[in-house]
Amino acid sequence: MAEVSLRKLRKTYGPVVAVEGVDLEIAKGELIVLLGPSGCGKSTTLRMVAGLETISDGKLHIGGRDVTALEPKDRDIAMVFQNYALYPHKTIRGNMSFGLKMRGTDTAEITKRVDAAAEMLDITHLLDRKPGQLSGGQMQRVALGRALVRDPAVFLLDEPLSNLDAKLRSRMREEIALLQRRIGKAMLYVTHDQTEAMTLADRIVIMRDGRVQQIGSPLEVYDRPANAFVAGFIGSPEMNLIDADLADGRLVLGEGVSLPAPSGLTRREGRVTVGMRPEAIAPAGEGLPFTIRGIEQLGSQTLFIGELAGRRLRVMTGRRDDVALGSGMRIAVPEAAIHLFDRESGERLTTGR
Amino acid sequence: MTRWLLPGFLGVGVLATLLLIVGPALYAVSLSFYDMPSLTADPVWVGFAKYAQVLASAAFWNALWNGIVYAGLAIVLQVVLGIGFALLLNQNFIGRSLLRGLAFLPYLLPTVVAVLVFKWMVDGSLGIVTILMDDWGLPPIYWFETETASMVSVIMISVWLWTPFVTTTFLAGLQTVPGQLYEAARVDGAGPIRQFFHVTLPSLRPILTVIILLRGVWMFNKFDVVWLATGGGPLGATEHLPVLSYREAFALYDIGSGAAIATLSFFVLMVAVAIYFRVFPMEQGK
Ligand SMILES: Nc1ncnc2c1ncn2[C@@H]1O[C@H](COP(=O)(O)OP(=O)(O)OP(=O)(O)O)[C@@H](O)[C@H]1O
Ligand SMILES: [Mg+2]
Repeated sequence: MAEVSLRKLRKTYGPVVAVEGVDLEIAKGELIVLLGPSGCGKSTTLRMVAGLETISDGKLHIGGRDVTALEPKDRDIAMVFQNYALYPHKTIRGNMSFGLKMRGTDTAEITKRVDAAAEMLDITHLLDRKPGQLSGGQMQRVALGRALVRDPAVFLLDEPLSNLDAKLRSRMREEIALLQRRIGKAMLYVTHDQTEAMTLADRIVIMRDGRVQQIGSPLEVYDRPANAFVAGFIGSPEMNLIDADLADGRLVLGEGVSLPAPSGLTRREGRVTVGMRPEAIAPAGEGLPFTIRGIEQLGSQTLFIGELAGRRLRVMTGRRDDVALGSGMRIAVPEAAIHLFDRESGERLTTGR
Repeated sequence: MTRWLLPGFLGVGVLATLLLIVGPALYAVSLSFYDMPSLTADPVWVGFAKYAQVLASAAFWNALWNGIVYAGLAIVLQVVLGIGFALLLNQNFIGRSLLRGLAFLPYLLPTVVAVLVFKWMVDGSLGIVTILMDDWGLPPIYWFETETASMVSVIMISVWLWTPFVTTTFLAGLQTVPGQLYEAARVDGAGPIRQFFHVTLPSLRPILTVIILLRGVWMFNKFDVVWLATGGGPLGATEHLPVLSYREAFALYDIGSGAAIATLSFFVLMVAVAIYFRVFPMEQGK
């Protein structure tokens, strides 16, 4: 049975609908990432689960109990805030103990649990300091520790790494993943960083304008994005999305430039959007004509930005330093790498992989 | 040109301070070493005789004690009520901004007006308080006639006048406490009261320290409320050091004693402030 279950969760602020009909089941030990652009309702969803925001409509169950109307403290959750929200006047130990103290846990037990959590996070030497005397990364650990000692059914994290620099962020990301495997609890993690989502998640929930667009494992959403929005949001560099016309089994991209349409289409003709990942396009002896307008060297790879039939296209290849700006190149797109979406609704049109 | 600008401004500031603050203060202190029956009379050097005389008088110790009672109770009430009102005004309700504005009003009242209004309200025959208490069958209170009641009266007027200062300052401070701390406390299971003691109060401790210090100094030196309301009476029951000093100097024409009392009052305050800083350091150590 699911540890956490969100059923048709909805949040309105007066006439503004912030979140609409979110359905989600989180299993024990599962790490779910809520991903989406700014303002899409990720935090609002998380805060409804936490109980910091009232639920306008729908039901929320945690550990099999209906907690829709309960206070945060009665929901068996712990939360890690974006700005850590550590109590500035309490020591680190005081910060980590506070939740247990409020619950009337006895002192020996509190000490035991705080010590264990501090050990796990490698912050034992910081226990007597105040938050003001810590670095951002250390505060982040303490915030995690504060959640950890509570041993809740579900951990809620709202962009916990967004205040850290890139290097520290990727290290903390790994640590959170390890920690989560180790404690085996359900975790709901909010971010707008798709790399973070791809690397951390068991399943990703992609949101837009308060609605869920797709739920799936990182590779599922990468390989089979449910619509053009998801396709553009997942993957780095971004997927190329080009308008085309589908007719007679071919995708017409422009004057004299066309591709064979992939098999397994749910439609034979019409206005479509073609999606091609930059890394799925390869230079070839013969193929479509591609004019290079920009080159980004990434070290092991090279990203070409150029034109295909007058449209902007990005192509990622293995390292190349023999190509000049303005020169031409032939590129090939394997059939399996073509994603097709309805141009109006954005819905996916291909059925197979 | 600009090279002399900064020292120039600084010089003007220093000069003004010397001339307008340090000078008169030193002059006042110097007066306490002379016998001087009036401001125009020729001063006669008497050394510390005035201090000895003042310290030996019961009036001085009575006034010191009254000052401590008056300032102490007035501060405690102001701070407690002020924080209470600030917390109320910090809630979300309709007409909040209007009420926040209104709450500040008493602070704008001239002391004379406040004292007069209070006197009218408790007037023995016409006062609204007197009439209401009579209606409810309560025994009359002689607000300015008995010793305890008159102390209560001056404290009440002071609290009424200056609670808004505490409220406004504290309310402003409340806006600076990060909302996430309250959310964290809620998740941790702290109710409103524990949130106050674990989040609000510690966060506003520096502000509170300054409020209490400022209000304390002001209350201890406050002259006009007591002078206007009771004149120090009845029988010296509300006479504190500022009133005593004034009475000695300008009613009994003993300028030297008045100045000695003022100087002693200054030292008492200085010691109190020094102790206060020891007990409540402005900067959290460590
Ligand atoms: N108190 C509020 N009143 C009105 N609208 C609100 C309120 N809080 C949030 N919203 C709206 O709800 C929507 C979702 O906000 P939310 O904070 O959940 O976004 P988010 O996905 O977390 O974005 P970000 O990545 O920027 O944090 C936004 O359009 C926002 O303007
Ligand atoms: Mg957010």
